[in-house]
Amino acid sequence: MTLVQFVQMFVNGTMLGFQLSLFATGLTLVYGIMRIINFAHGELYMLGAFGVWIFIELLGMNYLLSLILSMILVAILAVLLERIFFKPMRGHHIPSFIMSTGLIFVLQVSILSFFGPKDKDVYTVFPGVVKVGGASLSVERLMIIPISFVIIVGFYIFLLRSRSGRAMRAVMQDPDAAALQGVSIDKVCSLAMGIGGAMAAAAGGLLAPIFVVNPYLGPPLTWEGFIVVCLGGRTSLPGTLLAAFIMGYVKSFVSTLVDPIVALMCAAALLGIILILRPQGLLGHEA
Amino acid sequence: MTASHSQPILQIEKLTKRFGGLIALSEVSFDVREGEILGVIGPNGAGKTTLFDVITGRYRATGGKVFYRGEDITGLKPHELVQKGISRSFQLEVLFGNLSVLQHLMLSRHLHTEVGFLDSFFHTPGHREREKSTEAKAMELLTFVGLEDQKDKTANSLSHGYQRSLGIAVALGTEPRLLLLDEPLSALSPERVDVILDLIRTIRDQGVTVVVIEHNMGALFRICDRVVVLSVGEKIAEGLPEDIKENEKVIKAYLGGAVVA
Amino acid sequence: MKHKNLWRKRAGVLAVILAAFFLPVFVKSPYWLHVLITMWTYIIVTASLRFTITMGEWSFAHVPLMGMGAYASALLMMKLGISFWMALPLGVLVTAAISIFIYWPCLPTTGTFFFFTSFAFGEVMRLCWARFKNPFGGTGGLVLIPAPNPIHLPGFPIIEFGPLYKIPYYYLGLVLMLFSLLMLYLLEGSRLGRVAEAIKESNLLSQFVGIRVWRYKMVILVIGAAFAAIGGSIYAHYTTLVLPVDFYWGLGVYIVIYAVVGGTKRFSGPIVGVILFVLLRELLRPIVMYVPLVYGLILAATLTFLPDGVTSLPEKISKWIERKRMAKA
Repeated sequence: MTLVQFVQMFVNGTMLGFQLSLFATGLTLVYGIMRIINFAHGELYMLGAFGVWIFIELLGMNYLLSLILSMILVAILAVLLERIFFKPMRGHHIPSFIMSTGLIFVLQVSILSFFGPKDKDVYTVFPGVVKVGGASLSVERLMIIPISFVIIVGFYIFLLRSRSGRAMRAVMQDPDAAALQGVSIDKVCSLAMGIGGAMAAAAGGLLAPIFVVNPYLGPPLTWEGFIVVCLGGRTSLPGTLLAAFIMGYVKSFVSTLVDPIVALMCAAALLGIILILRPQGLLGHEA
Repeated sequence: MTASHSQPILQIEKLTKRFGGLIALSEVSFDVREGEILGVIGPNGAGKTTLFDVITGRYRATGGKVFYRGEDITGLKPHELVQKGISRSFQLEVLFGNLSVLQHLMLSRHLHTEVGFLDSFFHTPGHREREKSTEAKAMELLTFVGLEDQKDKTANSLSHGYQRSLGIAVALGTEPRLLLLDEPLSALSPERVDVILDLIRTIRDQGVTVVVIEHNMGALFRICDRVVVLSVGEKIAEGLPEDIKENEKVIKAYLGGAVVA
Repeated sequence: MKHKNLWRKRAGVLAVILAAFFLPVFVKSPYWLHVLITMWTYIIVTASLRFTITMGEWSFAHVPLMGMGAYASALLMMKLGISFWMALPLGVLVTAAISIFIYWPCLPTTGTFFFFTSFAFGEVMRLCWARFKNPFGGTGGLVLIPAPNPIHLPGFPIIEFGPLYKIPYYYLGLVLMLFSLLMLYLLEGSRLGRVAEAIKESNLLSQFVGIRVWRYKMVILVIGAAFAAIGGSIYAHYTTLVLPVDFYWGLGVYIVIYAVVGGTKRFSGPIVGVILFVLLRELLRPIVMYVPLVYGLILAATLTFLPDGVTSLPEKISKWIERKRMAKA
């Protein structure tokens, strides 16, 4: 392994780490607050990517505007899904999982019927290359880091400082106590889904220029997302961030040094091992 | 009723249980004599149910040992202990909700039913014979606790009092020599309390040692031979009911205030 | 009265079975025979999944284990030259043995955890097929899997299996399906089934009546895997091609949908579920792209309005009639 390779793998891993951070934080929120398993989260990511593609390639809009608009639209959809489908399933893991797989089909096929199965390309938004340690890194990939960082920090500020954020944290810790204190559980659940959807869409939109866009982006990422959530601790947001980066680096390094399939095997094995040996994850503290 | 007191049926030695930072049991030691009814009392959070959980293998002890008839049973799993003759009921009803009362008892006779698997698979006449005898024994137990009329009702549809009796019947079905009852009298009407107390006495008269956790001390003291008192995970007193009633430490523990050194 | 109903039920089942045996007399189209053959296969896999659910856990390694059965019997025939009629049972045994390794680490977990860990280890196994070209054929899978060896019965013409002869496959699938269903039905009615019920109702109380919960769970899971392997084997030797992607998690979801919509509370649930969806798929052939969408909507509708599935409908209707009658009285 040369320095160039190492730098590339490291940057790649960091990028994947940010992608997973955005994606999995939404999952942790949804699980922590609603106690459901939403397997269709990946479809929100996919819709975010499609949104950006539509706005940039079909409507010629500016990238950042496309991203924001995508995030908003997906957030609205996520809230609708929550109100219609997930509300009665709060607290029920397996029924919500099954229901969400039905939603995967619905969303995937809807996109398929409008846009077809072929890969779509979003052309490079940030052209250029930067040389670090002898390695050529595309600016496109590097830009993901600051943008994701801003979104994540923004989210944390919201969570820690705003009233709604505090309400969310209260429900995550103890829903009954929160309800007694006047927190509207329904509103918090919708908020969680909305924010989760927005962040998933952000991840999708950010990665759109780098990877291809097609209707099938969702499920593989959803599995990775769940691995991250379980690894970090299902109700621990800092845990999710930590696990997202661990996962990102593992994927990046193992894919390049060994084999992409082995990387997937490692991820799957990791999921199993964590759930058996330490079900509360790295930073979680659920009994 | 056994007269042999040579070896206590249950010996608890310095039993300790920690849950992370919380110490639920701290070096609790006492013996249970064969054939007695031992009461376990203490304010809320004293660790009484945890004591049962650790003895019966539901949780692993952090320290200390448990001996049953001289054998070290610390760390054994619940199903192994049931095989050895220790059985328990639960404070909050643990039942097979959608199954009928009779099915509960048939299952509780699981260990004592020599049903060969192949026989049950093919429903041979031998299997049906043994089913019949298991059902007869199950009905015996149901009559003993007064549930014979409810045999086809699902556990979920039973009233609180009947559910309680069912829990005890299931625990008895495994033919225990040591029965641990966790708050069998809670939320029962005075009439039902008397019924259960009679039941416990009869169970003991048939040779089963009984340990009872209870909050209803008035009722408990009517039937138990000795009492152990726990408070904040420690044993603070042990002795005859009359003495415990007057024990200063015990009174303080119940009235609140600092842990008595 | 009860007896009469029982015999009526049994007569009904017998009639359906006889109808299935005589169907090829009326249905000659190879296309529909193909549909029916796949239907038999899916019924075996869905019914065996439902069998494992009776003890209260949903396994997501079930379909990968079906795949293991497919690969096992195919490889036994291709690499060791064994006859199909030996490869099938051997493949089942191999899969059952492998399922022990997959499920054993999962036993400490329950509910969603069990679900995810069983997925995780099943996925590791499935990725092995994709990763190792030798012997599994890698992502390209196994091709040209031989058909079952011809059957020589004295006095009968030789029964040959092959791409042009669908009828032998039809009967092979039918017989194996009926065998599997019979076994699963008897197992459920045996002591094993009773203990499974108890474990589902209360894992805790089961332990406290002396049931070795882990052991029983393992037995049930392995049995489920064995029957899934039968389904996999038929699939392999009928389609002559198996790919790792054939057994990816999406198929697992479909099987779950069949079971859930059919109803997991009754034995007939998975059978009804598979039949409904296979027929539905044929109806939707002109708009095949929308099939997942319709499946998803049906699933959502079932979970919302009829959570115990289609087979719970007769019971619900009779209860409703009973209530109306009581109200009138």
